[in-house]
Amino acid sequence: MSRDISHEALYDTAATLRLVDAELGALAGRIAPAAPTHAPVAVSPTPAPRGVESVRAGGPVLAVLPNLLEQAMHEVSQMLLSLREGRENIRQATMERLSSTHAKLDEVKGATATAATDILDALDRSTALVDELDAVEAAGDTVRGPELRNQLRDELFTVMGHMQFQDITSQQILSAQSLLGDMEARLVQIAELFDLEVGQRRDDSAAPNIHVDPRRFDPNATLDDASSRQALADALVRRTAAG
Amino acid sequence: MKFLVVDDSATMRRIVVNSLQRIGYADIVEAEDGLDALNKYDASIGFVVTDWNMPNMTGTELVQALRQRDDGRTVPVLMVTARSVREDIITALEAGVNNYIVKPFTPQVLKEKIDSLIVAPAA
Repeated sequence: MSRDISHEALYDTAATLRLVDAELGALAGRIAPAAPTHAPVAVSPTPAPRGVESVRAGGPVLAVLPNLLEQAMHEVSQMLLSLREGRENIRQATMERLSSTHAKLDEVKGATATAATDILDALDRSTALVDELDAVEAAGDTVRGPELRNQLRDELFTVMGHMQFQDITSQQILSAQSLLGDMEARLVQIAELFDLEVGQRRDDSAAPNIHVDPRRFDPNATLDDASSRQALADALVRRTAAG
Repeated sequence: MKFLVVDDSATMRRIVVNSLQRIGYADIVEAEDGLDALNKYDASIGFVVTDWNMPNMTGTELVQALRQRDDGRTVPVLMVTARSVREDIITALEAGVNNYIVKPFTPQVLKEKIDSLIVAPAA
């Protein structure tokens, strides 16, 4: 019985070796296509796979294979590391740009709310002045009337001045659009690494191309702290005039 | 005195024009960007009020172009812009801008800067 087992084991081992050898031969052919040819196949009733002979002869394929595999693994590891670093950089840059876009849109929201309040307040004061003007004219007062009209004109002109928010918020929105357009272009570039037609599909789609002329907006446009900013401008103008 | 008001925002042009009218200046020409302004500019223009950020030609490019013309070399130029960082203001002054207003502005500031350039002519 032990003899049957040993025969069976030998048979199985030989079959396994032939299978492994066939796989190694195919792999070696892909990795090292210029690998030297093997010695002629030994005489045998059925021709032995190439690798078997190289196993018997300790030929070059198996000898270099571990090194090749190790090298390939090293290269793949380096590529994976680069991909991870690149992905992290892209993620950080994207998050920064998204955060900046959010901040700009928040500023727009705040600016429009402030302008709306200021305008409503000025309109309230204007309405009060109209009421007072009616009362004054009804009383026949010819002095107070012109004063009130001037005050009313000033208030209405103030309302007009508050409308400057539209120009500033427009630039803030253009800046946000520019950031989004830039992000979209970068994402398309990355997607094209895997699918060359992504860019073409994007161009063919109904979605508008977001490209903003950078000359049209100031990325730092703000309604905040106008008096300090004007003071800086005045100081620099004086310095230039003096110099 | 004839004013040339340059801004790509129709809202801002309207505000500046109304402000000028309020302080007594009624002869006003409008342009929607630097290139439009350059085409409309002639020797009859006595004062230029310009924005910075505009398509086709910015305010600083307009000023540089005006300073190259015989009839634009000494015209007072007041820049009215949202740009307010130090480097931008210096850039504008070096381009030939004579005075600088930061948006949002008040009519009083506009009058003050115009008076400073008319009473004391541009260098």
